[in-house]
Amino acid sequence: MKHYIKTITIISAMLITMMSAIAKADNIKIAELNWQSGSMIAYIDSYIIKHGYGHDTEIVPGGIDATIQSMLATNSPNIVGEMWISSLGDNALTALNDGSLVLSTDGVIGGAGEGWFIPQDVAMEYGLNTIEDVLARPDLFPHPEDPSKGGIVICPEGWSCKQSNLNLFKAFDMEAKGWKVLEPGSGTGLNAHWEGSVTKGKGAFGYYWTPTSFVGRLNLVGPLPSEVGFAGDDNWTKCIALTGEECANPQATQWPASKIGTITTPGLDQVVIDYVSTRTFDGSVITAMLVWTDANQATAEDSALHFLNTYPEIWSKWVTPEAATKITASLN
Amino acid sequence: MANFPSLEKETITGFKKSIDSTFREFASNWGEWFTELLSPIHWLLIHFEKLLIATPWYIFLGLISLLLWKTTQNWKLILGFLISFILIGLFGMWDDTMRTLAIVVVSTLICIVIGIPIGILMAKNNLAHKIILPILDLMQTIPSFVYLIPVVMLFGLGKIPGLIAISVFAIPPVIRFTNIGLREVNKDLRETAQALGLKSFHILRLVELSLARNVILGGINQTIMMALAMVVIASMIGVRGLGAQVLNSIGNGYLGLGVISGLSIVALAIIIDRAIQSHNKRYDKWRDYK
Repeated sequence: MKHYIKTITIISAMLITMMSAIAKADNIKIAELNWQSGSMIAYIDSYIIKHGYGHDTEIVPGGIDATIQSMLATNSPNIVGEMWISSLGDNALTALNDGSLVLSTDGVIGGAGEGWFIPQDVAMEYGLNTIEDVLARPDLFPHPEDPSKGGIVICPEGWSCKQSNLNLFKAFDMEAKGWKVLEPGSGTGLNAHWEGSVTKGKGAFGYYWTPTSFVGRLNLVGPLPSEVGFAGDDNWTKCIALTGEECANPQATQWPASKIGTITTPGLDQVVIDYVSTRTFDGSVITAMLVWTDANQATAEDSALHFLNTYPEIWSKWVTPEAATKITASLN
Repeated sequence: MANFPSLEKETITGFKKSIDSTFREFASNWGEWFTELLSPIHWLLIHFEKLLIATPWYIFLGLISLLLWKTTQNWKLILGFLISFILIGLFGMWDDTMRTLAIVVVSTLICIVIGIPIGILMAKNNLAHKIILPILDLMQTIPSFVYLIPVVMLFGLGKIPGLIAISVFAIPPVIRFTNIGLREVNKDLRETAQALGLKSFHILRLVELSLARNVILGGINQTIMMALAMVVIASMIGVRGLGAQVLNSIGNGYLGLGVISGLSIVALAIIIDRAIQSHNKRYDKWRDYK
């Protein structure tokens, strides 16, 4: 009986290993990040890898931290297209250093940035050009639950930029300056907050990023610079990007210029790696695509197809000529 | 061939966009007005929450135990309440539980104040019954994100949109149960009351509502349960409390935090549910005895 159980255990263990090996070889899982450009890039990758290189692809939902953890623990998803390097935590950086994850490129989008934004009309009217200018006027951005204080909207739970926001809140000594954190709860909440505030002509201050259709459509300016400039990589990666307990003494700094990378699990097909490491979008192309997405209320998949149909001169440079022919054929 | 002959894509997009622009127009013209209109409720909620958090824990435990004893006289329930709240406190969930309790209590009050009159209207008027019933179905089945986004655009982030989202989802049971409770009241009793010369308002208050009392309380119980279930969704638009902790644990993959905050919500739900049931049972016993 004991023997029997042992055999079954061994066989099932082998089966599971084999199955995961097969799944790994044939099925490339791509994380769809839950913001517009992240989700569109996932669909573009999926289409090109599927139709250009003949791999089966699967889109899986993703978030920044959860996806990295899942990649480390289960080697899946295999590709995450739009990772903001500055928002990566220590565990991700360690994994990239020791080779358990691979940074295939750090230039997915040119001219991108995250940080603190304000609506353009408010900036013009009161001459607010830097973070310090804004921090001096909490009265222009009242917090909904305590209007005597200024409210700064930060990243929702699960986005690693939440830590950076909280640490910067501390670094700029914002509590003493009459500010309070405004938690959006989710990406949806964050968007609705910006959209609602700008529509109602109210002041709003806090986190967003570019390129996004939002920044263009709502006329947000940012990321705002700081008078202290960028206070060095060490301060950022070893303090601001970490949790509050790990960052006892954050220094005030402006947000670093953003590098956006694609992270893959090791052992992917070389042609796929070649493709993801050469593809690079110009910020203006992404913005144009996102504005198109908004205007047509398109899904991420629609946008990906629209991109492939509209910009063959861009994506054909990323792939081998044979793959380009196959993709063009499948599009028609 | 097999595709459904749908409208032109441009027509559909145009339709969707016109809804968007109409709503944006509405939000920019009326957003402030609505926010002002609901500011008393906002004030109530903020201060109720502050009060609950500021109350020392032993006074809170004492007062609620006393309340439970008055309403149920069930010492097992009180023991369960004390144990679970002490555990909640030990695991550092006290403040978040108070925040959740505050929003659930206020939204339940809103549901009762709005829901019971609507339920009475439904029971008395068949046309109203026919109109309101499908609306209740809609409120319970429409995915909450559909109205979360417009609500946040109108009211901004935080408690008020959360309160509205919770109330929309949680109000149907109290309306349905009030309606059913009143419709189930024995006709003979109503006629007897009429024969005794009672005005219809008095019949409603003295006879019908008191006979339907347990059913209505059952509806309120359901409403509270649904409000608790909505707490996590509400946290997605910036409501703090246990829901935000659950969201936090989902976003970061913190299993332990998820279990602790999830179980705190369960504890709240079970205690409130058992308290109302136990109270109903006691009330029934008393009535049968008399």
